[in-house]
Amino acid sequence: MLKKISFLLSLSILASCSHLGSQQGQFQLRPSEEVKLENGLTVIFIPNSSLPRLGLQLLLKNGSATDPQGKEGVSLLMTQMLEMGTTTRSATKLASELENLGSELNQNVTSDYITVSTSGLSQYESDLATLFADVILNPAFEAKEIIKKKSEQISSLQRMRDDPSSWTDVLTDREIFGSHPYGKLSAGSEKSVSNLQRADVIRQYFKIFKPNEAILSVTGQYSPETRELLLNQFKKWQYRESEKAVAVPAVTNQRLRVILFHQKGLQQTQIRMSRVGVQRTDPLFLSYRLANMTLGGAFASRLNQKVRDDKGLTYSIYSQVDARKDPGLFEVSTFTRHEKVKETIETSLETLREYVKEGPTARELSAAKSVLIGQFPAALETTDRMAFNMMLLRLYGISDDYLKKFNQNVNGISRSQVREAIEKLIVPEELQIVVYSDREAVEAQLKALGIPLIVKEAR
Amino acid sequence: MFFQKLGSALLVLLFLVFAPDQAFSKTLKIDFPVEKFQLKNGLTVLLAPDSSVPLISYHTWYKVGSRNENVGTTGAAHMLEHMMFKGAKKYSGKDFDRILHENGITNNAFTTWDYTGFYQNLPSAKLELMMDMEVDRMRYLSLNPEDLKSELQVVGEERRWRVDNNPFGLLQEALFGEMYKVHPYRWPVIGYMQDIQAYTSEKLKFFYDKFYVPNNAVLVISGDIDVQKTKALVEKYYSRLEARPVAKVEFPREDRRSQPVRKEIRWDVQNISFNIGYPGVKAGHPDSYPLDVALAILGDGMSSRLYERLAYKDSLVTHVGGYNMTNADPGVIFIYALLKSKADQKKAEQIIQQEIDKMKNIKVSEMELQRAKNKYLKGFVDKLQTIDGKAQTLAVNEILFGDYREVYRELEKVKAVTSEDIRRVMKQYFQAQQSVTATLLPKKK
Repeated sequence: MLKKISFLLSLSILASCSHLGSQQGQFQLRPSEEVKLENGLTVIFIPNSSLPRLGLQLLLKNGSATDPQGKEGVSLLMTQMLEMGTTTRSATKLASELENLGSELNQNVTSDYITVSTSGLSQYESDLATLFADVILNPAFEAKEIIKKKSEQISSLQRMRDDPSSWTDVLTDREIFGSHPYGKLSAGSEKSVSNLQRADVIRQYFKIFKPNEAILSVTGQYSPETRELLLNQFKKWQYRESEKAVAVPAVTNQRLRVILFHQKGLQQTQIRMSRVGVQRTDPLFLSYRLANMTLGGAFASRLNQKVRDDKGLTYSIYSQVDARKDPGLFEVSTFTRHEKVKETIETSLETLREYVKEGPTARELSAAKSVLIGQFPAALETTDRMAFNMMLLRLYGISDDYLKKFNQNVNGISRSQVREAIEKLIVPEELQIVVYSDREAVEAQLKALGIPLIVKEAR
Repeated sequence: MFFQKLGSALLVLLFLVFAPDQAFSKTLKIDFPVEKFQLKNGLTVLLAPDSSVPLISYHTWYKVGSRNENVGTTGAAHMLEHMMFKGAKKYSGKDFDRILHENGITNNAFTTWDYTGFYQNLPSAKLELMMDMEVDRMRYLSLNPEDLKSELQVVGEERRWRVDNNPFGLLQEALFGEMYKVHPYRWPVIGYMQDIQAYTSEKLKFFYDKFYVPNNAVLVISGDIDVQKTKALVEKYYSRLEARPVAKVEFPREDRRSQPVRKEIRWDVQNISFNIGYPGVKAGHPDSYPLDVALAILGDGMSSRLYERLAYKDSLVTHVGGYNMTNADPGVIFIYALLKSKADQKKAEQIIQQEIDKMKNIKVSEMELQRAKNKYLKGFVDKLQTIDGKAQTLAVNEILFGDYREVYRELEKVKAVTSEDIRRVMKQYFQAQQSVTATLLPKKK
């Protein structure tokens, strides 16, 4: 049982430099090799023989944001279907062959990208490589298996509502992003998933799974034969023209307000304070990270000290910057007992306003730099993590210099640059405060805040 | 010399890994150097040098958990874990978190039924600072009443978040409350709300003085270290602490149930979930290894028997699985299922029972056996990918067995499990009259 919060640390935010220390306290860049196949597939190799383990990851440069209107959830369904058989292996045969090796398939669908990965003991490297290539290149998408996966996806959607914390995140995304793809769940809705057909799944596969819009990484301990096997398999993947990206209207921020989502019987109030923030390609990205670290990115940060440690209002409070292809959320996330909702929101707002007005002290900025630089090697400690970070940089069109010059760039950031980042990122008068609670227990307190209040049913 | 050397070895693990489809096996080699020694005050120290990154994973684990509490003071171990971040003599109040932060160090902690662990991830140049800070709070914790007042509220919120406002937390609490009737495992690690709110500094000081002593702790330092220099530092900082006797406690044993027990919780959930628990064994018990393998065959992964029947063939569940929880005292064998909308719980339970009965009566195939063993080995290799994973692996084995090398013996024991062992433990431990079924149901409309 953890004493404190587990901060949401996405690897994209943590991404730092890749080193292999050969002597105590010293750095050496871990060697990697990048190959571009004729079909456009980028392949990154990062060998590491310290453990008998092979890692394979494929990143597709499009995600659920490409789900057509009314067919939300199709990217997730399609990606989940990869484990349900290939043209030569049934679902049960595939599961059994993978698990015989001690391995499993992992899929992750986000709005910006999709990953499919596996790892296994190097003893079985060629078997694992063969299976992985088959899964990616020859999915069967059998109708009877699609029915099963649809039913699972709908049940998972229903179950999402049972966890107050996750459901508040869903409500917040919907509230802030509206019809923008970031406002929609990757899993879709019960209605949209129910209507999905086999043809939709196949169409989405061909739309997203293109070698020229994908990156494969091969990491850990593997032989030259397995390397060749993988290259030969993935050379067979057919190039497909990229589709023009559909322009999505930008989401604009609104004036400060509270949106109460009512759910009778809740025993605790969930709170999110959010606004539309920044893109991953924003040149101030590292300054945002430093700004966030001092505000709410660590135990010693201002929000945690004031709201949790001084006043005992919550077990967990943190802020985060979710930088994506389009601007993602800047968000403060917490929860409290019903009777302290007003005080928690007021204390958080006061902390944010004070921080925007003053910026970090020189000591706070120095501490934030120490943490980013000090923890920097952990983000790339394993070859899988390093590969994932390199793939993300390629997805967003950012140079590997982000990794190579990380320490130098963090150290070079001035207090005035961080203040500029704060002013762009944290605008307290534009926060949308989403509250998920029992109306009877908190409505009077929310009215007393003096901030415009909207009440909605949570379901 | 202030310490007693207990062993040092460059351990090269050689495992025979069986290829399910092939008539041969290969050797798997893992180098994992570890040095163990003990100070005169009884502190056990494990050093695992690994300079792949310029970081150190620093773990201090104490042999105290919720089983060391009493009725009326449930949650004491966890409460004390929180107070360990509230300052001591040299690093007082908020200085603890601030100084770690300013030095680029991240830290956290956890409490279990049997032990409490504190851990940090630090740049290798900060090792000496870290030792000074950990030694300070191992002996001179402040336990300031004002800090406690605010932390009681924090832990109250944690309980609401984990249990009172979380249906799956409620489900687990209900199951343990029925599985154990006399052993302290019957109450939750976080404690009951009325006990949490009633803590005083004096009560916690008693608990602290009793258990937070060097002879009741294991220190594991893994990562970018020089072994000789680190040993000298450990000696310099930790030798000043005095040992105090820690009484050995015999915990009560549970009686066998004469009939199955069922427990229901109604909550605002969409679909039914249920957990079935059977009395298990303690960590290191000879049957724990065949039970691990049996549970993997029964409920780990898409090719497991329960998934194939309940999720794939009959489409009754979204998730189903099982695991063998072993603690310092006998644990629980779990089967869990998350049903789809309108799925019939009775039917799901019948199928689970059928699959259990099959494993009691018919030997599992060699293929299934090897698959489970390969998964186990893969999980072990995965844990060794990071310095933190290595430190955790060493600490848990040293704490539970008094010898970190048990981790290697464990692999050998898993490798030796036979299909006959599986059949035997299935018959012995999966007895319907011994079971507790806790069900989470949607509220009645």
